[in-house]
Amino acid sequence: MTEAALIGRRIREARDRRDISQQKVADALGIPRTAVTNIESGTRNVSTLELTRLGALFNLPPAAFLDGSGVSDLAVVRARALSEATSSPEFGPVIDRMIDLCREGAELRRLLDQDTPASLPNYAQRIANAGDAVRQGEGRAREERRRLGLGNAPIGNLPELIGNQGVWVASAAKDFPANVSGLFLNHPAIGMAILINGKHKPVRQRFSYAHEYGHALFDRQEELRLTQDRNSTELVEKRANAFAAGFLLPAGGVLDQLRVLGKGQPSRQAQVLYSVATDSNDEAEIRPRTGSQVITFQDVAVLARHFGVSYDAMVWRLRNLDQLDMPATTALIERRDDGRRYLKMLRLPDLFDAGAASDDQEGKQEQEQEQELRSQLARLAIEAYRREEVSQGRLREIARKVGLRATDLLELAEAAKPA
Amino acid sequence: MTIPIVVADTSVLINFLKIDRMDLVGRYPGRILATDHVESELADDYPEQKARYQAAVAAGLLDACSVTDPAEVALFLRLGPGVCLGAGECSAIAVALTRGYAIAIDDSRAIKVAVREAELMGARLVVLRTQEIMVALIRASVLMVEEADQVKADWEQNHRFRLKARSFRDLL
Repeated sequence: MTEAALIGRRIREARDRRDISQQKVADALGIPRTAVTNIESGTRNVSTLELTRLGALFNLPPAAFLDGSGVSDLAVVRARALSEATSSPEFGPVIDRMIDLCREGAELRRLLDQDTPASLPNYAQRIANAGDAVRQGEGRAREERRRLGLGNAPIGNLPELIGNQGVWVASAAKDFPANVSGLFLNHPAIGMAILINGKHKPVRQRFSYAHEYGHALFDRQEELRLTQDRNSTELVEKRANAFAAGFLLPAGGVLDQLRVLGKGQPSRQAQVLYSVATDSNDEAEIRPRTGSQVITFQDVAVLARHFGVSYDAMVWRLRNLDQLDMPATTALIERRDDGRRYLKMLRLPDLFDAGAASDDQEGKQEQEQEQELRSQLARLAIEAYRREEVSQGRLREIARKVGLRATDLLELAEAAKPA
Repeated sequence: MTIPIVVADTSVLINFLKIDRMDLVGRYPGRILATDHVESELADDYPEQKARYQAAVAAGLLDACSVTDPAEVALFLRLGPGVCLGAGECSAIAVALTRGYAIAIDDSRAIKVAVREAELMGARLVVLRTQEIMVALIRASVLMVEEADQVKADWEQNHRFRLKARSFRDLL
């Protein structure tokens, strides 16, 4: 087989896997459809610029058309993700872009000898039952908070924190299936990556980030895991949920905050005091005023805002920490509209899961979706350029891919070089 | 006498495009050739320079070419565009090495790759940076040192492009 025929075959394979028509390829290259047929059959030479544009269209490095690297390997992961999220064939390009950006990052890490990212603990463990899943999730969440020195404080920028552990993180809104809240990928070619449904409210996204991070800690032996409504009863999903709740809402932190609100004290508290006059002990009982310890919807809203989680997630965490009995839990969930009105009145961000993000939030989210991944890639790219591991032309390509102005990235990278 | 041909990469051409002095490229004592990646990269990253580039090609100040020769395409892919180098740089290196032309390129990493590849192929490769292009123009008496120094000052003051020499006179 001639080299042209081999390249043509690889182009056809990549196009078939993505279910892209010859006409679409022709439009992207600015050539007639018949020319694409000829390229694929090896009877027309393909130019280097056309190969570059095909790489961009298929989210593949051009060299993949020669050696096949990345054409077949990661395509399997992609195909699995698509078949599991059957409701959305448009999901393909979303996954392609994520894989492409992560591959860029992995390549930069390799050039910088950083291809073994920070040693993320592996908490893989067999789960016997649902109780076991919750115990493991909560226990490891405490351990992980300790390892990261988080204490009981709320977590500020969660994507950044996860990104700093060497996991690629991004969210995407366009064409993300509604029934999927996030996915976790782990592949030797790209490392570990988390992609979150950017259509969801920010508080739900935070929970999804923590949930997928749980998969990175517990389930990284799996190449791909989609978190969607239909697998929510699986034990590994329950464990990741328990991890997310414990990670975002540490028991100690929640109880501290409850005390700040004057809540969470037991209904009776026995006190034993030493009496110096009688040289004996004096017993007393403290009883909070009736009704003073009832956790109300505004307490839940304030706590949820403090920890950056949804109203519902906060209610369930309080239940989980034995601060609410089941009737109180149900009552608080039913009063979520009052909670929403309360936050609206105070002009605080909406912390409710239901529905999609507002137009205003969506616009903001569009800008922020790849913020963390963009920041990770820009940092690696500048460092690689500073060390002369990548060229100007490569830097411009990376800038283009992550949506940065090439001139800005190049000037900043130049500024990072020694004088 | 054979007219020397130089394959120019975007990194060099952009310096002349930014100061709207493609006439200097046209005055080079040899032919300057650019692959079609240059125009594509300009369209993506420097849209305001694209018209100047097209005008320069239309005026015959340099030639543009598409790279379709199987040997050049194979070398382009072997250079691994999208790893250390950009596709434009790989295409320029592939053409220069396959056809035995000189290459005009400023990036140190790209130069290292080009030189290493030339050694592997047992080929001779002449590498010119923007600075050497300017010196060649002065030596060919198509550019005065004073004017070259004014261009250098413009690059430094307005386009963040610095040359180490104090004056082109020091390089002659």
